Amino acid sequence: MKSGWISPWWQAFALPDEWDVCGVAVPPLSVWHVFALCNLGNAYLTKSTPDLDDAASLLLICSKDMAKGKELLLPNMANKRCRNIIKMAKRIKGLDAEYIERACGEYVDTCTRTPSRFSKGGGTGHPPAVPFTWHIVMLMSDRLPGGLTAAWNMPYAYGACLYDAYAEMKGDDSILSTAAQEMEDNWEYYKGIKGTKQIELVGSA
Amino acid sequence: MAADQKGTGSLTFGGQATQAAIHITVPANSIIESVTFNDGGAPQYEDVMDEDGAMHTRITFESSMDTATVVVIGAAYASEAGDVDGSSSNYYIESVSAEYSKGPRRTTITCTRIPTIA
Repeated sequence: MKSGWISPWWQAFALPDEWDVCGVAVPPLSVWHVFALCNLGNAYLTKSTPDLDDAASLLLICSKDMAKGKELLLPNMANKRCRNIIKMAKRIKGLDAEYIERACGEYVDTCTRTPSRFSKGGGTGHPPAVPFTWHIVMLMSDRLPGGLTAAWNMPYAYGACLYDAYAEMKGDDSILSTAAQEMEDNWEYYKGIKGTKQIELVGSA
Repeated sequence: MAADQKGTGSLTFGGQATQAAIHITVPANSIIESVTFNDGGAPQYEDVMDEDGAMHTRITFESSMDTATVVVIGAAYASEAGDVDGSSSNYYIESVSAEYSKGPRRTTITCTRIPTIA
């Protein structure tokens, strides 16, 4: 295992309670934040090229919990939302554009890092119809004292890890082991290793 | 038992005096994720080095097992189901299946005892 590598399980557990992203205090990206930002088409979540508006929108959404964030997204709040995004954009505008992109990208990447899965080649599976965030909420709302609200507000990476743990308990064998995950994360190194080795299965008397 | 045995293996007569090794060839960076036997026996792992310096992983199991399932992270060159590495082996490859991620590949190989006619 390469030194310095951190497993997604450990990272999800050890996420800080608060981040400072471009001078804005935000909690770890929650299930709600991921759901909202994906639906808003935010470039940091859709992996397209982000601009200042994406960064401002990301920080605005992430600085609020589900209740306050939802209010902001109501149709009659469009003007206020725009004003707030502009205000947020002005707040971070003085910063270097590359720094903003790097800080926001690191925040999103870290908070959304979850274990990977294997898929059967040419399998018969189909893409899920229900967004993954709803699966997490469905699983966690009965298990958290705060119910649905607490499930939406829990850190996304933590919720995804809990969901995977539950899935494996129920027989899902597609989740990468820690060793395989490390190999995937360092694939550029591993894929270049030449040579073969043998596994021998030998029966004892 | 798979009915369509292929490769160099054959029915073994007169019991299993020889428990020859089953060889599964994998890339050097492969990781053995799990080895399970149908009789629940605990395998023993041992890393050994050949005369030519090549590393092997030897897994010793109790001879009572009928099937062994080896899961490795990496491609396994156990060739196709039914092929036996060496004609003296009492086991053959029952099935080989692969799963894929963005990087590594996971291969599951199931070995089955060749039926014995005493």
